Amino acid sequence: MLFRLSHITKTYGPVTALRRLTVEAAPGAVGLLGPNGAGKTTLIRTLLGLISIDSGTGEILGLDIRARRLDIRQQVGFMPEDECLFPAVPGVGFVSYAGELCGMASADAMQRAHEVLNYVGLDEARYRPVESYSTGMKQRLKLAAAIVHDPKLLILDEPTNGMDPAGRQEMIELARDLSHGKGMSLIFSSHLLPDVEAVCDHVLVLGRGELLAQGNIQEMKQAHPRTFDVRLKGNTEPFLARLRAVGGDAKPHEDTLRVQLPEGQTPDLLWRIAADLGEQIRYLRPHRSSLEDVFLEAVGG
Amino acid sequence: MPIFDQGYQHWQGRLSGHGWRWLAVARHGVKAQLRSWFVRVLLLVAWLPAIALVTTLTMWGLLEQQAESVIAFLQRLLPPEVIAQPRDYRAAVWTIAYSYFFKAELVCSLFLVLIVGPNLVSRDLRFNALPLYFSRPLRRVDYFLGKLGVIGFYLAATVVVPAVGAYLLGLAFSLDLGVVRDTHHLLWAGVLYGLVITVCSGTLMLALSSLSRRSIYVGLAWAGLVFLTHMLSSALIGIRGDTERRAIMQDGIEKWVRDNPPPPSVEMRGSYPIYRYSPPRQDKKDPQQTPEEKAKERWLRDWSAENRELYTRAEAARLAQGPTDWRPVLSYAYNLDRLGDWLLDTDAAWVLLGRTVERPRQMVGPMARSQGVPVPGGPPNDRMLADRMVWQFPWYWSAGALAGVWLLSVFVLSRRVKSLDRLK
Amino acid sequence: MTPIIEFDGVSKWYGNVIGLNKLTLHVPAGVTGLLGPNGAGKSTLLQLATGQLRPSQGTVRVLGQDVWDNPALNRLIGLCPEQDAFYEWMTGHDFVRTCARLSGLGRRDASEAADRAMDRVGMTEHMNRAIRGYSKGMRQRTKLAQALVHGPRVLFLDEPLTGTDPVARRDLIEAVRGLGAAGCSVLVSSHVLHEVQALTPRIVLLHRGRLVAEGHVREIRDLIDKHPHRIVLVCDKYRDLAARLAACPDVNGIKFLDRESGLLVETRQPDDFYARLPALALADGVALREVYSEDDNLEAVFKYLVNK
Repeated sequence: MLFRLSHITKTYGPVTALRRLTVEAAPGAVGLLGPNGAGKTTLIRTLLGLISIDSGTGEILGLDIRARRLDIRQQVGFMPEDECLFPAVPGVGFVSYAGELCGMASADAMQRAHEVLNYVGLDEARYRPVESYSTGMKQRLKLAAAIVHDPKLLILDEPTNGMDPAGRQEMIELARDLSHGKGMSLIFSSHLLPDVEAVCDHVLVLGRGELLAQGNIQEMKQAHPRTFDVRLKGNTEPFLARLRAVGGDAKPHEDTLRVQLPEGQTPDLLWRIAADLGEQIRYLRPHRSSLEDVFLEAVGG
Repeated sequence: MPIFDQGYQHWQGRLSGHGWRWLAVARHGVKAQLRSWFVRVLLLVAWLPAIALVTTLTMWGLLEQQAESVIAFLQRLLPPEVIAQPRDYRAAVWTIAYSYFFKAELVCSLFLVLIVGPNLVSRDLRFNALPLYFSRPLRRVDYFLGKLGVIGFYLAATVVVPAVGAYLLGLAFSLDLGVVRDTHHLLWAGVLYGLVITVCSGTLMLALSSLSRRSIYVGLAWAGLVFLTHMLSSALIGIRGDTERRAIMQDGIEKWVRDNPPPPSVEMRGSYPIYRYSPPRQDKKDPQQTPEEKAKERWLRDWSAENRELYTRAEAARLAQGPTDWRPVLSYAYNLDRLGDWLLDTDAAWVLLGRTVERPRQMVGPMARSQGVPVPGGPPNDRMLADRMVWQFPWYWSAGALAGVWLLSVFVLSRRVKSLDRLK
Repeated sequence: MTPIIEFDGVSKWYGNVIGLNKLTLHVPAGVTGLLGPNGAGKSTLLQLATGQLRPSQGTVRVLGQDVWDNPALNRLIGLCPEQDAFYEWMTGHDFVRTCARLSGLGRRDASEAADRAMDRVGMTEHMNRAIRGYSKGMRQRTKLAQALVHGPRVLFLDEPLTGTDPVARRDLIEAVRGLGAAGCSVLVSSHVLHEVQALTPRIVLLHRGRLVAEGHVREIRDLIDKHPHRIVLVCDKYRDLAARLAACPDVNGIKFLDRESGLLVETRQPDDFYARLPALALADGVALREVYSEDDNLEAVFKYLVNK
């Protein structure tokens, strides 16, 4: 059991951040989604053992969240969203200081810092002062500092923020490797749903301080039996006309058509129409809701 | 296996307990500050008062061993009892030497805190390092203790270590372990004083450092706080002392001149005679002076005696005010100084020296007066030196003032450095 | 189509560092995405196009006029910058109204325009609170509102969707597409490729200060010769289909995906391949269920062109 929270309530003055939240998660890669103000930040801080909650019980990695808060942080690594730096140190110094703050001896911390920096891909840059780093390098540095003490749970808060596509891809691969290959549990909080989908198997959707939805991503993306996403090369009008003539229907959605086949028909119908019209079908797949659809439905937007 | 996994490795190792986390913060801070050459130079400069202290203690040690060269040199400076029986004065002289050393070191350490301190919290605020700190198993207390430890390290290196080192050297030059018995309280007092300076000025500096993201403003605030309060306090002391003295002397001399009007040959400006240079008489052997010259001379002598009397009275009044004078408490530096004197018990040392200086006067006084030699009157005052050299107001005023500032600093720190659950 | 934004041989350097290197670009009306890795020159391009920087070489024209030293043109241009710089004590509505006044609207017009702009970005219920209390998504939307408020004809958006949650993101994408359809030209610079893909199929790709590609994503993809198209076909009798495909000359490679019961086909002439597909699909017993291409998208184009 990764963490188990039961009826957690936390208020900051007039604002209720978490409202009798009850959630359980198994080890693995878990995505954390929710609109702004849903309580994600408060949940993350609870999982870090930073918050004294008003009511409720819970345990994280088997440690009680009221009694063992410092120990929780020993086992959890956190990569913050905003710009954070230890000033006036080179990259290696940054990561080894992070390790020393967790209680590692300075020799261990230095050795481990180099190892972890190799893993995240900061090579020569590790000897330069951290103020000179680009955004992508700073994100990798924060990741390195979060895993230097080999935590059992790693919490990533918007890790791909501000990175260019290549950097984003590498960060996703690192996260995936850590959670699937190296046995580290991961909580990935992001607004970029394709990134969440690429890394996580499980997802939690929060809203207004409560848990709105939870489950395995693949299972939540329902398949619709006779709905297909279709992309054509040319004009869609003749195709639509033919399709409607035989009882099907289609709705344009961004650059694809969402086609509803009539009863008892297979995609061969679409190929027949295309052959007749001399049209090219460049994309044909059964429609599955995307994670965005799941999210929007859960939030009720 | 011939090909080794280059990816992420797990780590199993020993972790230090929570009690030692602050040491990691302190070590990091010390290393960061040591990189600046200015700090390193300052560490060396702060040893200069220690050299002076060692010299003094060495000379005293040689005196105790009755070394000829030293006696010849010191005979001009010290009363003969001290030269004859140095052992009786050992504790007093060591105490006074240490008290001067600590006065000098106080200035150095306040300056050192100015150089080393401002960066400590303000840089972390500017670069937003707090989420990185507090998302780790680190409490706010550990963070503050660590930062305080940085200041503590530098102050220890410049105040405590030289004090202890000088003690050991003085001990070596005395070649007499009995020194330890007489003066060991100085060692503890020194260490304790260093601790007091660290805690008070360190916490204040951390609080100031947490108020701004630019260390230059923090430095200015510290300098302003220390120097301006010091100047204010000194100014107030001076003003009060001056006003009082003028009141006593002016009123007194005017009254005396009214009661004893000057002979006509004396020119007066208000209550003050004007001295004019008169060429020496050709005939020195002639003791006969005109009656008016005699009168003039007598009157002037009486006037001077009255003036001196009034001055002594004014001084005594000023010193009598000492125990209730609150003005020094306004200055941060004076407060620390007062605590230092209390810890070292400098007052007792000066009283002993004062007694030594005053006793001869008690014997000589009647003989001198019969000859007409002016001698300061009054009973022998053992506290004559002590009252002048050491602050007399109660030590708990200073302790109270410093404790108040400390509490305020802690309050400011806890508001400015919020733990992660309250950030943003 | 007359280009809305024209760069002619534009170079810009800062000391020794080059921002743009002899860039010649004509952006037509509609929504266009501006892409490139870090340091490619995107911010330089946006700053040159809005008149904040002067080109070291070449000319920059927007709506036919030279941009540099042309304050009157700013009436027709809107910029949503990447940085966050607000007057924190103002309310959102005040801020947007002030920007409207600065653009030349009268007092009452400005207030109404601010109302409309805030409504369009979905900030109506928060617009009377001080900006100090806004979340990141709300700030982003306020920035977008101030870019729109004076009804510009050309909009420059620099990372407009950072920090917005998926609900707000969907609304903002709708809003931008609506603007594009209504005749406003929009140039959106972003790192998040799937967002740009949702906004527009037309892109401009920069790398190291130079123009790498420009136009419709699909056309660009077709032109990338070095990487053949990889198309996945899923059907029951995939091995039979493979046998038929092996006979076709434009197929460069076939790989069997047993787990998905399909084929991965590589071809350098996608057009011919797709044209042949309906006939093949209807051949007896094939029952082609799925057709999709892994790299017929913006991510692939970006990767192939930039990450050599």
